[in-house]
Amino acid sequence: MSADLTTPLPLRGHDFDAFLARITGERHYAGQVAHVGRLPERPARHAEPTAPLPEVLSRALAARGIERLYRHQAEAIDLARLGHHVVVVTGTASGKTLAYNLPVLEGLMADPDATALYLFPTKALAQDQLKGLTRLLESMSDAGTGPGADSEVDLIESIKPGVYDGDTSQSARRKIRDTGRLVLSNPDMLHRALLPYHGRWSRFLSRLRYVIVDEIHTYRGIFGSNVANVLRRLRRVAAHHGADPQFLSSSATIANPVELAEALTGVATRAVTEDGSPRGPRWFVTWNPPHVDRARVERRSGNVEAMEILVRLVREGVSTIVFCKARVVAELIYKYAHDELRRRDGALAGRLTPYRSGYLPSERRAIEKRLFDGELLGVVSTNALELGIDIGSLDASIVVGFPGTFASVWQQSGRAGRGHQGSLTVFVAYDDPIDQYLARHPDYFLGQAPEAAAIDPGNPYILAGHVACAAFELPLGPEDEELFGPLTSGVRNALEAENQLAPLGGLHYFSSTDFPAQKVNLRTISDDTYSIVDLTNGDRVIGMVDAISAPELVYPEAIYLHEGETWFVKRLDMDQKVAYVEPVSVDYYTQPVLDTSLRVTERREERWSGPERLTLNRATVTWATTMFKKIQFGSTDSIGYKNLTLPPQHLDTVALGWSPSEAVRNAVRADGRKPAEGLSGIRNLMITVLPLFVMCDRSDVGGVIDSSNLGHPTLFLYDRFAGGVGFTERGYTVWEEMVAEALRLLEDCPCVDGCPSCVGLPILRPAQHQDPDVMNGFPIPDKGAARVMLRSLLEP
Amino acid sequence: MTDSLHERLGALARGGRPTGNGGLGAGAPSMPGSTPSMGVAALSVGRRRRPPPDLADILPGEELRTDRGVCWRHERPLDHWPGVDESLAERLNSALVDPPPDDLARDAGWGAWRERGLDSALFLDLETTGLAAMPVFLCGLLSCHRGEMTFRLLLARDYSEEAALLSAVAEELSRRPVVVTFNGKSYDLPYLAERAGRLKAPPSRPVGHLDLLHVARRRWATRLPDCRLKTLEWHVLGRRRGGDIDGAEIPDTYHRFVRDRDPRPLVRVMAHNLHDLYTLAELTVRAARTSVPAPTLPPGSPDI
Repeated sequence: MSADLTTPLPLRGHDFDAFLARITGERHYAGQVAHVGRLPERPARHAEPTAPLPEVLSRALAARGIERLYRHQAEAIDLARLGHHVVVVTGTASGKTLAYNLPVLEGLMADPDATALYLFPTKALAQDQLKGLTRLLESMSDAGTGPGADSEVDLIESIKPGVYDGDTSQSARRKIRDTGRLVLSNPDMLHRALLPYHGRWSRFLSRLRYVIVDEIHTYRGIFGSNVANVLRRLRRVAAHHGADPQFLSSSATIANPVELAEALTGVATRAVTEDGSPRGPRWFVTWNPPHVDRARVERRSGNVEAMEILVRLVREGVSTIVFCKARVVAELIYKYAHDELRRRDGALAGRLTPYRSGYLPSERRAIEKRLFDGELLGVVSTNALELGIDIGSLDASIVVGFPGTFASVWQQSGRAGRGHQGSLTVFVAYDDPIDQYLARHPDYFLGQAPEAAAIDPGNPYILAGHVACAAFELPLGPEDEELFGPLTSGVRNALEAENQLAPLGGLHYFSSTDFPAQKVNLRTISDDTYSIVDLTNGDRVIGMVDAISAPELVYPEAIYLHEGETWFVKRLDMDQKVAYVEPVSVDYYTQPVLDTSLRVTERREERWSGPERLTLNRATVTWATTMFKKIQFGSTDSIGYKNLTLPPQHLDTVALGWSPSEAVRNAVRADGRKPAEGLSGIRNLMITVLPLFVMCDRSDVGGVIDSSNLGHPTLFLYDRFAGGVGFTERGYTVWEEMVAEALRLLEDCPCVDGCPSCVGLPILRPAQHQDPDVMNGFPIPDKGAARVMLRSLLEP
Repeated sequence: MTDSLHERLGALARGGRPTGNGGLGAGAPSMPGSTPSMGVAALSVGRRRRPPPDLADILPGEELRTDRGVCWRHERPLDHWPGVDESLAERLNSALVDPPPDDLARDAGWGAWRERGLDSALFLDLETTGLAAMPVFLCGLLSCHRGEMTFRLLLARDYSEEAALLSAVAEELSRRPVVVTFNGKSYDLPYLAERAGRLKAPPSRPVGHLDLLHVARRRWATRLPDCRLKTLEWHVLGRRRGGDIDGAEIPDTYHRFVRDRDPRPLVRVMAHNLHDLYTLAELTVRAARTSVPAPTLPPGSPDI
């Protein structure tokens, strides 16, 4: 059947129940629909701010079709007017932008000298917001009437917003510095270009009234830890020029928006979480590709399934956006869908478009317009597009593979749904442990977001760069300790010992010829990376790998996989940090065996978790690749091994420690199993489960079983980043929930004795850990031992 | 990040006691005289060393009090230095009084100077610790009073004296409001403005600004390899310096002085600054003449 594509959409939009019934009723239907969740329609809830908006603003809004405000917008305005720092936590397309634009414009009209700084995580987002602000200001100019209209128009004109980023011309930069009142920028620019030269910005800074930080959930992990320090430097420099700005932020739905906002800015923040925007009924479908054979081992490709769903939707006139994890997948799905549509329905193929990052604003606007006009029915994109860039709303969203965080799933799902009309989200699961787990537990998508964003601005490796930058900006004084945290004096002393700082008269001055902001990259801790160099092609660098992963991936004679090709590591130079490789065609891969140990250097916190002790520590993790195995493709048989003598690596980081009590260990022994194996299995489960609670990847944390610290076997989970970035620290807080989740994952897994999807090593981490107390390692520890251990924890 | 810094931060990451030199520097303000207190960092541990000479012995002068604290001022008549042409003040005066070439006649800076007379100008040259946004530590000034040229050097003996230095420069400019520089429009004046804005020191606001770089470009660019000061010094004035400090070394020389308080290396910086100012003054005289061609380097001449 084909839908009539020329008539306007019915008021309530598409009937997705009927759509799904058609699919499941088909003869070839293979049971892919694992679950259908329905969220009811939500009407708009309006409210008025306590005092009305200035008339010029309400008229401008009316001219743009906004007669009343939603309650979260009104609430945000009220809080902002009272001088609070605010974070608005509402969904996509909820009018979050107005929630901060309105108080800012009101404030800039009331005080003709006041200024505002807007920070966005990407340049494209800043450009989009500039467009929105410009339109609103134009409406304000047009709306002005009555006596004093001319001076009001002048005032509005004075708020000419400008983007200040790497692409801004020199003359535009000067103009913005000298006269700009509303500046849109990003944290990198603030860090490198504004703060170090704050003398040129004294006018702007002395009147700085508002700082807008948009999409704060993107500031997590290392990036967030760096940005938190940049914002503290901003407050410090602003205070020097006489300003104490108000922070207005926005965040996607995460477990800890206030905690994150306060950790980023250092100021007490109020949250606005009640979303007053209307939402049509939502269908949320979990789609699991069928098994390809009776043995029920492998599943069909998620990409092909996604493509077929897209084609169906487009043929029924449902405008759809597809989110893919990688560009290469997006290109593939687009191509397949395009070819399929051309085969079946000629004209429809032209109504599909890929959406790549790096489009010019004009290209994006062309796509937006075609979507809005109904000319385009399908967009295939990568996850990069989930941020608030305005391409309008569609009717359906297909999420191909778990994008890494639930917040992302919601952002992507939020792209579907126009006004009161129904929307459809289809989550297509890949054949990956987490995707499969979520396919069995759709309540994750429909319940409260469990995951938190974690940062650690006090990480000494991160803090050092920013203390140097701060000293460059203004000499460091005793009050800076309060701003930057308790490690500040230690970091300051370290920098002084390196002749970067000089103490004079109670202050510390920057005393080197370096330009410290140049040396701090907001997205890394240090430039500790290895280059991978192709010996056969003029030493061309084909890739980079971080120093912590290098001994696991590019040890001598390793088979290294890069972009689908196999390379043989001829030589590893650990001083120069280079791995020399050559292309090779082999029928085996290599798996390293690592000797890992951990030494606790300081206990930070401890508590009881039931009868077990849980600790949070500073620890040094040491590991060395001692040998590797050669494993035949397809058979998992080891066809040989080789010993290695590589120098050990050290990592000073933060680690959570958990020691099962004697009672629990006895329970395992009573069952005829080994406690050490149980612990190994739990270690692997926890690494899989932690990302459900904190926004990180499995590869960001590591685990080791070690009894040298406490005298009995202890499970340690640590951040694989020097100094720690808050991941395992968060795990320490939610440990009990992690234990429950680990047991759920284990019980749920259909395997009998254990497999890589539950107690075994996650497939992504090929290294086999040799824990100090565990002889010969356990590639797949005994599932039963882990089960007994976990159950005895949860049963009092 | 250097390995040693990484190691020190590692100690913090491990939660051990902080490494490095104890706490803040001694809380005492700068002592009167030439060597402000430096806290622990200045102590040399181990072998005994002869203390470095006093700044006053190397760069005689006095402490200058401003509303932003103190800095050091060194002042001497220009003709104190051998090799300086004593008729400079006279020649500058004639240059100013006589009808100028057309391009200078159109120059607002020249006009402001002419209007106010020879004594109203300040030849100015900064020495800084970087190319932008880094502290200024030295300002060299040349001025004329009743036919006598005087060289003044204002020095921030450490980073904490920079605000006083900026205040002193602003004060000088208020008394002699026409400034003559080489590339001052792009470098020295914006630099002073940024640092003053940063430290909230009084801004330097000259009433007129004659930038010799602009004049030189107009006048001599086609006949010279470039318009750097030293190139003009050689090609236009026929003079060359020996043993001049490389500009790139200047920032580190200052940082080292702040650390170890040995003023002797500063002499080279002062000499460089003085030379620059002197050349600037002579170039100004030359620029005022209408038809003197620039001599060129004979082919094959060695460059010292």
